[in-house]
Amino acid sequence: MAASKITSRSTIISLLIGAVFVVLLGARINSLENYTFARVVQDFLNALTLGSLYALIALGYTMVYGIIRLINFAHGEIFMLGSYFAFYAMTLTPLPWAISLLVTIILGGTVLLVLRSLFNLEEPKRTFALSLIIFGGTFFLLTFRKLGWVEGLTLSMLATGVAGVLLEAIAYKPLRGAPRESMLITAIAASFFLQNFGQLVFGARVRGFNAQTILNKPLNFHIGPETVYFTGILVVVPLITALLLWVLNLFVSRTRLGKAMRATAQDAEVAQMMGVNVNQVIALTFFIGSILAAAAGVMYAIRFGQIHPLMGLMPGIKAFTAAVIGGIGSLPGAVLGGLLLGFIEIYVVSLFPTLSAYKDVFAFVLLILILLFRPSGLVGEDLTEKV
Amino acid sequence: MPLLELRNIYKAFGGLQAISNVSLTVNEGEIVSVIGPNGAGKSTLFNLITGVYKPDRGDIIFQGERINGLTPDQVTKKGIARTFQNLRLFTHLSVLDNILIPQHHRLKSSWLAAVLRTPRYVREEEEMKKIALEKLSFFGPRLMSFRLHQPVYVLSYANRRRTEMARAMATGAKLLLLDEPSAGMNPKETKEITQIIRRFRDEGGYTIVLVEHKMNLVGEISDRVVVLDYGVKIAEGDYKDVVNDPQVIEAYLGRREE
Amino acid sequence: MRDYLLTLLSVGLAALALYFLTVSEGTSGLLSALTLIFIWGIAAISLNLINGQLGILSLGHHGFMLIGGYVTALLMLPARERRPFRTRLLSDWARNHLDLDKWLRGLGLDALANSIDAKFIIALFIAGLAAALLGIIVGAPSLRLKGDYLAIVTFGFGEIIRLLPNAPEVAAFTNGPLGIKGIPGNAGNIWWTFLALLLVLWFFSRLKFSSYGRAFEGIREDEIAAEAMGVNLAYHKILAFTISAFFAGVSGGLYASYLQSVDTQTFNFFVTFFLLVAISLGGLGSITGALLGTAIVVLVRVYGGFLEQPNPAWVGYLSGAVLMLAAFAFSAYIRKARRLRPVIEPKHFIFGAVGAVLLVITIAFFKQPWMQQTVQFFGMRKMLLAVILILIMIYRREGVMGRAEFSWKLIIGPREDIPTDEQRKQDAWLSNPDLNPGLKEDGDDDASA
Repeated sequence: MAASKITSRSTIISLLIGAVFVVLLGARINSLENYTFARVVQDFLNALTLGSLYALIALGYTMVYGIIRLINFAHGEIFMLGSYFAFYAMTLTPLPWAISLLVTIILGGTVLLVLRSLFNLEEPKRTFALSLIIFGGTFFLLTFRKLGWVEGLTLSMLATGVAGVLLEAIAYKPLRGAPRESMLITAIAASFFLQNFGQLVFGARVRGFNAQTILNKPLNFHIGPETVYFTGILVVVPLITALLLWVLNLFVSRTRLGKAMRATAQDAEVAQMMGVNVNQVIALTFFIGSILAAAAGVMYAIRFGQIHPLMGLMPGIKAFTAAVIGGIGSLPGAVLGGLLLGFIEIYVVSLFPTLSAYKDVFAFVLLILILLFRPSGLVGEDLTEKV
Repeated sequence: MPLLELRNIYKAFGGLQAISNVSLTVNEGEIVSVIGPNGAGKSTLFNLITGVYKPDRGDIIFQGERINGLTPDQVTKKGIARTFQNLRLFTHLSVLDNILIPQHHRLKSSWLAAVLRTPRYVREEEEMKKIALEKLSFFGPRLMSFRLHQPVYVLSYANRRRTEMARAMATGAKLLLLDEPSAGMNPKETKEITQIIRRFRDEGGYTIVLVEHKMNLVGEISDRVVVLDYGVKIAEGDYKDVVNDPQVIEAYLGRREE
Repeated sequence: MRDYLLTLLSVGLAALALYFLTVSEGTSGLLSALTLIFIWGIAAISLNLINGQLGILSLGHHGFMLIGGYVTALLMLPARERRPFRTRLLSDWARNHLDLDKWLRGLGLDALANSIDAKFIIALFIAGLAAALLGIIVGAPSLRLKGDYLAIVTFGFGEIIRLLPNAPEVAAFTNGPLGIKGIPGNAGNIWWTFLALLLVLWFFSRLKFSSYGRAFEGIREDEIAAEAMGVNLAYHKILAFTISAFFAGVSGGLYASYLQSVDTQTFNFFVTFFLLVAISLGGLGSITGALLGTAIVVLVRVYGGFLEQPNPAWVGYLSGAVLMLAAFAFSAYIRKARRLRPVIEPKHFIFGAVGAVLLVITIAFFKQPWMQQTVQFFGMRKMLLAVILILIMIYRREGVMGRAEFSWKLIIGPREDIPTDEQRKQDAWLSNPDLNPGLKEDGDDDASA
């Protein structure tokens, strides 16, 4: 009872602080002369897009932390991998059939193996059907024509999901039960490895990500005398995010595996005793987290038009901040935190242009403040250790 | 003046009233046992006295001074030391280091003096070693030769318990709070520890409060027994009187259905 | 006394060896490697105080080093380098007033101001103090937070400190992204860093084997117990952070002086990562280990250059194939040795398959021009370090040394923790009723301690 009292009190305090901010923001908007309605709309669209992307990445952090209490430092690099996979899928296709066959065998085989172990598809009939779909689909996609963004996104999500599972299997799985600090160090090492691996394999230079689609076609419109710079991606990102969230929510709340996941997040040991295959659930968590990160990576690349091996760093940190703001371990919290952070970033830069040099500093300051004064986040549960 | 006095202590965790209206006096040179069924609030009581938790209401007075609200290290400096129910030794450090650390708070030299090894620091260090050996000698010579330099994790369970008691004494405390000092010991060792606890008082001049489940140990050494049940003190007094108290029997065994 | 003499003797020998290195020709590569080992060794030993002895994972060490580097750079910057066109973003105030030379002359200490070495010592000291001040701030969250959350907070502080010098307002003191160039290169002389390392070794070993060092290790072993035993957690944590930051600042100053320039990229997060690899490799908590780990890691960095030489592309494909196949074989070997079934896990086929495909590609397209063109494998050394760290965390978390320190007793003896025959006999007599009839009545039976 006392605990809930305290929570409600701090909620009120948070709300009060929020209200003060809103008032200050309003005053600032009033005092800015050239802040027209068009800019309000523009900023809102930008913030919604950025916030959605942060939310997608933050979900990966929050799910992994919820299940194995690991701050997956390498999640930003998974995001980077996602955008590169899509880049190659969209620029190198159509492949000569021999290479396509080779890639199909490796990629399809890997995907098949991972999917089979993730979703209990041991039955021969199902396996056969699945392999037919995967091998046939991959080969078909890669061989005949240049891929569009939808196919690129889908392929990249699958491949990145598998990469996430492999990362877990290679680097984190042997450390099950190790001190959390050791796991964090491993995650940092994995992050460094992937960054440099990216620089080695993909090249260190910045590459243009020119998805020649309607997504990047300017669809500017006017509000009064002002122009709102509008492209399809500004709508597509929130829509795809909403779609993925809906599917994720269905999965977690309705399916058996989703329930197993929630049980593992509550108490892995007990879940194991109740017959949940914890290893499978953890791998699945990495799979889903990486899929979402890949989606974010591809859309981030389309939105900002360029990719490079270190691109995962700052979005990764900001998404982690978002996850912490929302209360790490909480799925709605991550989405909320991501959106909040997106709005804060866009509006601070827009309203206080002189502060834009401190954009990245703010993310860290916010992270430190939240961890120090409200480590359970805005909606999260209390994580303090027992004596 | 009593050494330790608890006045109407209350403590709740969320909706659970762990301790309610407990008062207790401990006089100098006494051995007081706190008993009670599991979850009665015995360990919580220790945590309240040592400053791990703060009481919601009530006062804790040690040597005429209010000590509630102090942090655990401040309480220890005042002269109350404890052992833990499930050993909390510095596992990777040697036995000697384990018994030197509790004396650290009495060190007067600054860290710079310690690095420079000023004469005063060297003298203090010698003094600390002497006290450490003196406390270990309560348990005979078994911990004093080569085991002194072995890490704690190679010791037997009984030896770890002994090390922990020596560690609590080394803080320079007057009052020792022993949380199940005989847990995990065989009957022979329990018998020995009973004698040693008595020697703590007779030779070391310590006042002792202990939480214990082994009733023969409690009966043998306690001057006074306090019984807790659901955070309430239900009986206090001589061992024989307390164990025959119908309320106590009910707490342990339940009410007999008529 | 014997140990003392032996230590003196070995330091003397090391100095002598160093002297011959400096006079002999063709060893400049080795000398600069040694200089780097000494500088990074100081940083690693100071990080080890927090991460190893205090048991708090701190990831903000590059921030402390950066402060030290910038402070040293600003204070030491000679007048000819202070002209506006050299330090475009620096404010006039910083340019004219943050000058150790002026301060000393203002105090009438011309003798000190005339000696660049004396100035360097003073500048390093001030750099250390500035970093130590920051250490208090960064250490403060350790009073509220624990574990991975605290690690992230220290990381955040480190990154903030790294990002700030580029911001326009702060650039007035740091010259922004341009950095500061033309710092006197005192630390290029190996004796500087050698003596500094000796001093640091002396300081930290004395600290470790003092009452304060024991208190730190008590906090590492069990915070709750340490507090219950009267150790003031707040004071000792902040103290450790402050001391550690001080020496990190000094090493940052030495490094800036060694490079003769400093900018924000000099001290990025990789620095902390590098030190983390070093102390994990050597053994968290061991000063000897920290130095040993640094030596290995620096040697990998300095002499691992061949990994990043330009090579035909097929070399890359081939080595990728070999590595993958080796990982495949290794995992099979381990599982076989541990009698796990199946010997080859389905997932491990992925390694084998990728390796085999790479091999096939290498052979099939060997003649193709894109296979023969030269490429440079950037980042191999960093990847190697990352792999080393992951392997340590998985297979040997205690590193090479564990928590043990080098000591003469360990090598020559006598070992106090190993019983002599006499002690063993006495111990048996104490606990064995067959040998000691007096025990029969009220003995104890903890013969196996």
